[in-house]
Amino acid sequence: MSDLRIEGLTITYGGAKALDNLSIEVKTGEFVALLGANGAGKTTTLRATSGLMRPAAGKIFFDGVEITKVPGHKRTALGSGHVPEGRQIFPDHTVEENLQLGTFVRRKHRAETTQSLEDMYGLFPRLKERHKQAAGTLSGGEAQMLAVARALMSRPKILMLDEPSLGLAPQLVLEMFKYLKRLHAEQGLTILLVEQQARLALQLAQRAYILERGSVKIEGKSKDLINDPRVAEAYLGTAS
Amino acid sequence: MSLQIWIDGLFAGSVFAIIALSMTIVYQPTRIMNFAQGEGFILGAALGYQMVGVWKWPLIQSLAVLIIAAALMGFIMERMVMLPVQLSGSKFAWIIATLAAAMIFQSAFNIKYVNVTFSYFDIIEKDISIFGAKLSIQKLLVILMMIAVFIINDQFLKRTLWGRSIRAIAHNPDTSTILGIPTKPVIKLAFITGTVVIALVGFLATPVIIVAPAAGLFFTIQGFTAAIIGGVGSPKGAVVGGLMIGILDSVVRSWLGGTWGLFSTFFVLAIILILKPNGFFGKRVEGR
Ligand SMILES: Nc1ncnc2c1ncn2[C@@H]1O[C@H](COP(=O)(O)OP(=O)(O)OP(=O)(O)O)[C@@H](O)[C@H]1O
Ligand SMILES: [Mg+2]
Repeated sequence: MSDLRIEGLTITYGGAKALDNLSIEVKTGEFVALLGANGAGKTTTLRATSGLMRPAAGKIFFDGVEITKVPGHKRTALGSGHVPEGRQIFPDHTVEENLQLGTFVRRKHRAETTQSLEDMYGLFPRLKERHKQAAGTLSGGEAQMLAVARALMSRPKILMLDEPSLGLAPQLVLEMFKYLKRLHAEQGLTILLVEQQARLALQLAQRAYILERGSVKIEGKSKDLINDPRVAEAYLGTAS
Repeated sequence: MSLQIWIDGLFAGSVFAIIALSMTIVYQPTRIMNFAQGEGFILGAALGYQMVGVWKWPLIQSLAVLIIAAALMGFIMERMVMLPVQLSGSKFAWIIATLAAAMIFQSAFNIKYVNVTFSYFDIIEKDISIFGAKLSIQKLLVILMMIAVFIINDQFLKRTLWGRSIRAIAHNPDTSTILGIPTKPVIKLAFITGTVVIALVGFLATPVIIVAPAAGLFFTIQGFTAAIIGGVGSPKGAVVGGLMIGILDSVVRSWLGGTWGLFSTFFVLAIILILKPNGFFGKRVEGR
């Protein structure tokens, strides 16, 4: 199970509302996209779900249990994974140390975490070649791989990604999304994807929410949204 | 130059090194230099004076009470420092918050101990002699403690996942949290551990050096100087910096007289800051 339900979430930054009575839901095994213009509140939604922001109002449920007041680090142990906006790898730690930090919540299962490390190196051979290197020396694309791999190291039930394609070459973007799609299809990983490249996101996800000024403006199945003139005009215009 | 001067310098240097190490322990996850840290030293001195000197308590009992009291002080200090820092969002909040904490503790010690200087007999009154120079067990204990604190801190940071997490928290608390690292409890624990360490050295060193209730900031500055010379945040730097100013002070003092000791410390600090702005083992300190 990995249901995520957000009900009536309001978050303010010193008076200004970043989220305004926002409600979204991601069911177990779903692949959902969260779209919207700059400043619509996508990052804020993910940060609140990870427990990095205190809501002014609203509730967050994970697997049917309310987690609104659960501290952020405990939510990871419950099964939420988050690839933050802008990668946020630890530049002074080596690549391998970054990955090991991803296993923090599973640190008592040594054999398992060693296996996960091997799995990630299998997926991203580039990271294996550079495993002893300080992560700050990686290229943008490599750093993005590391951020995704690090989040997967905790074996999340739901993975939230905040603009993972940012700064990646188109070829690499496709490769990474192919991989996410595979994780979703083969391992049943639940995914909530924030993405600027709306067309691409709609091709991958089953459903999508489009945010505007902190609340859901449009929601629906991806294939309906792609053909929706409101969406096409405002969000798909020049993208991809 | 006599060996005694070097041994005395090694002892003083070990005191400064432990103070610097305790500041490093707090700095590692927070990137805050705690100017109230030296008050922990005074707590050790005051409780040592009270329990060992006045009440004649047995050693083990005194140590146990000291550790509990120091842990409590670390817990309170964390709130006094981190709460304003988290609430204000200003990048200078830590300076005011740690100085305020220092003043508050200093006033408390001054009120309780008017006109008292802390001193009591050595816990183990015995000397060993090294080529004619004298080293009391008390001083030896401080030197050994310095080595132990250094090795434990250094290995913990380098070899354990918890140690790596502490470095991660310093870099980015939010990202650490989403990886499941309990950021806030780790910071609390750092303040508690740092305070226990510095209180223990205060307890052990006071019979040798005699401490005034208001001397907390002096010890803070010595530890701070040692940390800067060695490189802020580095355990190795704390030890090298501490030993350097301790030995320098002792040598210069015996050579040119008392007042020159402190002068030489800050003179060397100035030179080193010009030649190596990040200290011997420091990384570039990021703007905060
Ligand atoms: N630290 C902050 N302080 C003040 N306001 C903030 C802060 N972070 C975000 N905001 C505001 O909250 C609103 C939502 O921001 P958010 O980062 O969630 O948008 P986003 O949808 O992720 O945008 P983008 O596509 O540019 O990443 C914006 O109006 C933004 O200006
Ligand atoms: Mg964003």
